[in-house]
Amino acid sequence: MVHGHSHDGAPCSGHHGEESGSRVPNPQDMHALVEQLRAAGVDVSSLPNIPTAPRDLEEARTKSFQFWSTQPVPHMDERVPADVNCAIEENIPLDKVRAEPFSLPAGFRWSNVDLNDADQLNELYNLLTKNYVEDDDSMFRFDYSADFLKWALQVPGHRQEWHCGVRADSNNRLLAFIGAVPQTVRVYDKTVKMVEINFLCVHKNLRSRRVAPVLIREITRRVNVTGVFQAAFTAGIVIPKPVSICRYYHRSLNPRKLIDVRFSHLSAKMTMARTIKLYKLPEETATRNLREMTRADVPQVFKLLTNSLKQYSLAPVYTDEEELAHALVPRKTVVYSYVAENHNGKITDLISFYSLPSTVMGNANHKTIFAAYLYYYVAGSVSVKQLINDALILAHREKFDVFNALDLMHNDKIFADLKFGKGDGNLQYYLYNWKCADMKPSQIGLVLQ
Amino acid sequence: MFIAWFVSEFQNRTGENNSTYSEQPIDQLLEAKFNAAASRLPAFRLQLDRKTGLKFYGLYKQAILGPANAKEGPYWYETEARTKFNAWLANGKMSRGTAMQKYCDMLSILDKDWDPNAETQKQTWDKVPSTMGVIEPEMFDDFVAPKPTRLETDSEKSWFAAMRVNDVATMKQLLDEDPNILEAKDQHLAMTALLWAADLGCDPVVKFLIDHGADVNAVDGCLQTALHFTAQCHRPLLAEILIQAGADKSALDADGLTPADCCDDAELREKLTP
Repeated sequence: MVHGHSHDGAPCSGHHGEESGSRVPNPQDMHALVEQLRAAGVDVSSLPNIPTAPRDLEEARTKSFQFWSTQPVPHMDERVPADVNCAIEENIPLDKVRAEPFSLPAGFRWSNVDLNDADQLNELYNLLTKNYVEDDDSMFRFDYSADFLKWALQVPGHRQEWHCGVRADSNNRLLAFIGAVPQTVRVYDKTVKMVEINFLCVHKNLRSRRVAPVLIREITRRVNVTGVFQAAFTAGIVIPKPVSICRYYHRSLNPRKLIDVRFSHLSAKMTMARTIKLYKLPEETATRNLREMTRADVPQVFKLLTNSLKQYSLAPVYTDEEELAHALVPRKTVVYSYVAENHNGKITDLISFYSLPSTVMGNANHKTIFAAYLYYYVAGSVSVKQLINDALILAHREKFDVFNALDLMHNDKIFADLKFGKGDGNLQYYLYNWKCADMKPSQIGLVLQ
Repeated sequence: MFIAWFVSEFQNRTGENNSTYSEQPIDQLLEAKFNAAASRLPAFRLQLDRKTGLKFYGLYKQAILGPANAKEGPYWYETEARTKFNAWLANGKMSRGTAMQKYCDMLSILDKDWDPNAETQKQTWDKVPSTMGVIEPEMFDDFVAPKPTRLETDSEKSWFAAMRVNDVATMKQLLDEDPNILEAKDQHLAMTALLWAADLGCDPVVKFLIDHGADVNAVDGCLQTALHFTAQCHRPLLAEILIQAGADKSALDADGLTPADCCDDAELREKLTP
């Protein structure tokens, strides 16, 4: 299978008429045009802002997009009109999907990672958490636990060939990984069978070999052979083309520790004493009858959440109760879910968060920041603000240091009141082989770990 | 014809269109870049001259809210607010997108290391945890920071800056030059270096200040002593040092509370009980 991005033959009828008027040229087009102009004797250096000699970053940008320009994704500068919501390339007949794996640089081979094998699970854990680049100046690294990886990757319907690893022939070491899990996703009014792509990681020794594109092509192939042609993923980097750009917000639960490890800083106008006081939370939650969710709550929570997710433009669709149970039934140190039940035994509210600690680099006193990430919630009988404040209280009780949330769903409205501070990290949401109008963060109802 | 299209296409992308103001949708990438720039700026605030600071302020307001309405400005006698408002007004009908771009351009001149694209274009698939910015009083509705009563002198600025990073050598030098600096109060919260060091947990500074005769019972505007700060911030070691240096366990703050009353850590509370 080769993904040549072509608008001809793409099932996107609503879009063609406007192309000549509104489409902005992509970098490849621009370079081609500059060459043509030069050939025609035009002094291109006199034109404004033309990248005759691309700076390093421009070059890197063009270079990395060389891969994405071959992929069925919208152009970086493309504005997709509101009436377009469809695949970019038609589904490939299954007998036309490439049957043999893409080739790796010599000395490396494909190898599925069996997460039920403790050694292999540990290898994956090490690849994802210990594989930092020494000259990287980031002070924090995600510390995905083995249990977390099993939760995120072994969802109902998972396939071992979608836990796709690369090993060195010489010493059999796991040097790269990409994961896919099945997930039905609704985009505006269309419900699409997709995979979520996550945990793409290339060992630093392999960084120069441009393995990431091969991993992406290979996982695409392995997904395509099962008849799935769309994917959702998130990334910190910007590539063509985000469907939405979300931002992280952070709520201190243990401000002293966060300041000690330089996760946050005090302005000259704030004392630590005042900060501790301002972030202090009540001991008890405010929502009546809020309790830990159990397996027995799954049927009710399934209905409650399924109904609530309809308000968003991008949201997961749980195809059965088993999928929802996997996502939300509490697992210590991984996922925490609570429900409120009224006197008739009806579940009215849901609040959940997952645990993803960060390793602190080079700090004598602290090795780990325990971070809770807001997951799915339904505020039925109380306000979103009260429900999330209860989540803060519960997370604090579980000894988390910080509570993180993206500005998606209704979160943006409660950040100021609940004392969240803006983070320095964006998270881009992407759809693969799908084009639709950009979404505001508040339209996003899909949370990817 | 072809060239004309090409040039106009390019000018549309890069040119500024200031003539009339209309709510154009903001490019997502530009907005991300602007957000990155806006969260980067606070680190440079202290280096900014007033003019540049105001320019940043004006562009920020323009980028967030669009053009200022001249009729809605503060009164002329609200000098500070008016100056800031004028900086916003000076941008005229500039579009939000242009203001974002200018803000980013200004930041990249100010901070040579800031690569506007790198912030949004980190060419790595590794997800890196987002971190929090500076905790400002403005983040809390229930707390209003007092206005500075007087400005710190240059040596006082250095004195407090050195305290924050445990740079005792510099503090010693400043103290030798001017012994009065020992009890100098900062411009924001009118606290001595000892109060700040107790609050922030700068142990070497606390020891240094005590050795040089700092008043261990000095108070801030709310009558809190250094011991009150160690109580609230759970700093048993510093509490011990202060008590041995003669800090008063029965000192009452403006709310009539002793250090022990302010402490919610049982062990430390016992140590602090008079």
